[in-house]
Amino acid sequence: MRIQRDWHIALDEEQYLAQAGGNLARLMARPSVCADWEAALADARELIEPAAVWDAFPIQEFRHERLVLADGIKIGGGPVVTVVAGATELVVGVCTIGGAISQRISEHMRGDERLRAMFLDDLGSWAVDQVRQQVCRRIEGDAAGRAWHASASLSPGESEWSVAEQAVIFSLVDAREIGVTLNESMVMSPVKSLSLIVGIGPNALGVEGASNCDFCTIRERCSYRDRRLALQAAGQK
Amino acid sequence: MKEQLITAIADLKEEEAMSLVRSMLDAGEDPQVILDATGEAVRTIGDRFEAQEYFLPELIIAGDLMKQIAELVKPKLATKVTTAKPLGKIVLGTVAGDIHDIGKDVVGFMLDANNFEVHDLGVDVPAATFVAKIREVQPNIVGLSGFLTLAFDQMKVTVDAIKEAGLRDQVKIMIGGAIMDTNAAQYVGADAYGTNAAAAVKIAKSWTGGM
Repeated sequence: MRIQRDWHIALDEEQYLAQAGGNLARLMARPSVCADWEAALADARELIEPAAVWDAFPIQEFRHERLVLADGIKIGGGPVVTVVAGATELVVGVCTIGGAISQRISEHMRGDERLRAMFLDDLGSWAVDQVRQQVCRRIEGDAAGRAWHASASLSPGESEWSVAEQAVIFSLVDAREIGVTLNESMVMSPVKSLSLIVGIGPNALGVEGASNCDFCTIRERCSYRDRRLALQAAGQK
Repeated sequence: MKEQLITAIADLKEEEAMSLVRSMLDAGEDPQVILDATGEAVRTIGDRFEAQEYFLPELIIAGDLMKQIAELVKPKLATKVTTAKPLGKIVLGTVAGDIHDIGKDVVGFMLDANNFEVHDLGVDVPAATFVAKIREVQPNIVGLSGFLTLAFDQMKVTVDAIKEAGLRDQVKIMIGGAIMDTNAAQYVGADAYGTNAAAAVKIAKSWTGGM
């Protein structure tokens, strides 16, 4: 099991404003909005504690819409089998930015600092997605080092893949090592956390070169996706 | 002056709006006229949100402005027992399995600013908690929030639990979230859906005779 905490989180103000859409850049001309933004950015930079844990598990067989791992554990449903088709191992992981940021968001909400809370919430979601993308690049890099392929990644809840499968992910990797737990309704704590899977193997896989966004039900209105693409285009990832 | 106030609120001109409210109150204007103006401004703000002219930050700024106006106006209304009464009670929460709270929170305080009594249960709320709160506070309206399509099933579970508890006929149910539509409302068994806070206020007012 691999654990890594030194992820680079790029909370670039220009990128954020360029991709936030709407009138945010114009709203920033209001001193109160600008102050909330700057305070939220400072909060985020202070409080984000990125971490990820992941491990690879041999795939014994593909059975209907599920994978059977070597120890008999089954995982699947939704687009899983299609995406990782042909894989010989399944990489399973959890990433987070820690719980301090969520606590601060709650404090701001209770203190009627809603705009600051909204900015901080948005920055936190952007940050945890950046951790996920870097974990995926690391998995792809490791696979490439073995001359293997890596599939697109999937996260329970973001596509038609049931969030209930998160229980399987948590049975495979000990996310408590990075401070992440799962409750009975399949919600992770801290909430700014994501779980994921990636298929790897020596042969071409079902879906490669795609991102989790391609299977996501909210991709057409997701600002994080826009920002990620902008960061990639700018070579800043 | 009422039209000016509506425009100032809808355009998020905070200082101008507050100045107008003070002038209207000083001139002896019926406080209800001012609250009616905020209601009309909410409709314009909702339309602008639908047209993607406004986004979440604008809704938050608008909500803060309405709250400031309500704080000025409510003491004047307090002398009029009939109009000072809240328009209705709302039990609000993000359904189990979903932790998205910003949109739900904005709905909550926009409703509060528009004279509703809001009971916010938070996020990841089990169906049984909704049922217990409905029994406790006997709301007119229940608002179920969810961000992802996966929330639809849990919303349905929640509505079914309200039915099984024999409470469905006592409440109107709205579902909220950016991906909600008519099909979702039908599937869930809700009475209406809203994709933003302004829409939620509009629906709630239409159910309670406030608009």
